[in-house]
Amino acid sequence: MLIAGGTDHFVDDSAIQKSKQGVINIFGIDELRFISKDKKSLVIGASSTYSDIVKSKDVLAHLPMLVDACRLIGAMQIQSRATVGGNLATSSPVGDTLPVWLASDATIECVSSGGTRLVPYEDFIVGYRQIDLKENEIIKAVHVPIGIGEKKQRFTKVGTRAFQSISKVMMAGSAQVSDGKIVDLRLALGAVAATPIRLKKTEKRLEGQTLSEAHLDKAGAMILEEITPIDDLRSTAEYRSEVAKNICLAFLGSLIGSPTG
Amino acid sequence: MKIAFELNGKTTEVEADPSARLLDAIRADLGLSGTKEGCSEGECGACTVLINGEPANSCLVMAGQISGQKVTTIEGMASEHKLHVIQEKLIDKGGTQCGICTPGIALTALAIQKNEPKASRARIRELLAGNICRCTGYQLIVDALEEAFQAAD
Repeated sequence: MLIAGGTDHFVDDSAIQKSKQGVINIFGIDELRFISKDKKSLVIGASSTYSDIVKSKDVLAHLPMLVDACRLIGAMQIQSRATVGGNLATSSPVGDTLPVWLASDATIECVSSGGTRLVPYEDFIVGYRQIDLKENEIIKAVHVPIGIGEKKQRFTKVGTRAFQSISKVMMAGSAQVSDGKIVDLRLALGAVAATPIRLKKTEKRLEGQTLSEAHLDKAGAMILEEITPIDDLRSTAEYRSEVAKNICLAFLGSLIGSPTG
Repeated sequence: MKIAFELNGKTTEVEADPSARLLDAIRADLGLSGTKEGCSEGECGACTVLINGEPANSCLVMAGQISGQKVTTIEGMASEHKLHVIQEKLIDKGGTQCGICTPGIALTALAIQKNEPKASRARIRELLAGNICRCTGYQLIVDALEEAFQAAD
């Protein structure tokens, strides 16, 4: 098995068993730990840690919602080891960085001895903790297109406390406001379904609209239709639904300067 | 397997299971008991050590991964005859009670002092979120760290 930061390893008995057959440490490989930028995209190596992200001026300039997500994961001890690639590979429904990749139209770069494959992140998620990574492939990097114009972004996490807690629900939102109209809206949520999800119906209904308070009321109902949260040890379906709706509406409200935003 | 790394400034070799926890290599194989085991799942920070200067939960790191790296444990914090100013202030201010969290707090503080010596009180609390203390209520710990960072200025 491969291991990078390994922050999820010793809490998983089956992984501990598997490691007895041999481990390859990829944490120290420079080719996997980088953040670069060209005119079209921001590229983040899979072994980049959350500390690397929080310190990066390029990520702050182009993907500030990822900085906010990473700053709130665990605390210094986790952020110094946990990696972007690890969160993608584990693909937990509560993976905090995952809604960000949905809201930023990210593409995952998978490599093997056979070559390179670029998979849109949306297609990379196959099911509950299942990803489209072939037997001989590793995740090399995430590519995020750099938006034209000023995109408004927001990451909101709700947990028992700000740091060092697993999310009850989180949202990554991105949009442009052009002549008062919402353009390129992305709303992504975590911990409200078996996988991180994008609220495509809500996005489509609001695209190109001039938002008003009345629109927000309707959007709230649509958001609830698109999510399927569950009761578990961290929260209840009822709480998650209400909070998911509210954090999405707060983001949408911020786009139109609503006082609740 | 023999794992070679730098421990508290000295080149060290330890015979340990590379797939075991760094925490076990430190406590059982190297006999350094200053690093504490609390929750064993990366929540409490009692087992914090510095790897290349950054805090990490040694209960979550594979021992083999420290090959060639620099590790600092609480035993490496004081110089030969003198406690580090962070340790002194934790004592002076009463920022320690039962002591289980203290080695981890002191090492995290060392990293904060290096990275953000001018951190505000609120920021210190944020950066300390990975070290849980059930005795002090944190107030006295933050008091101690503030004074230590000022003293070292």
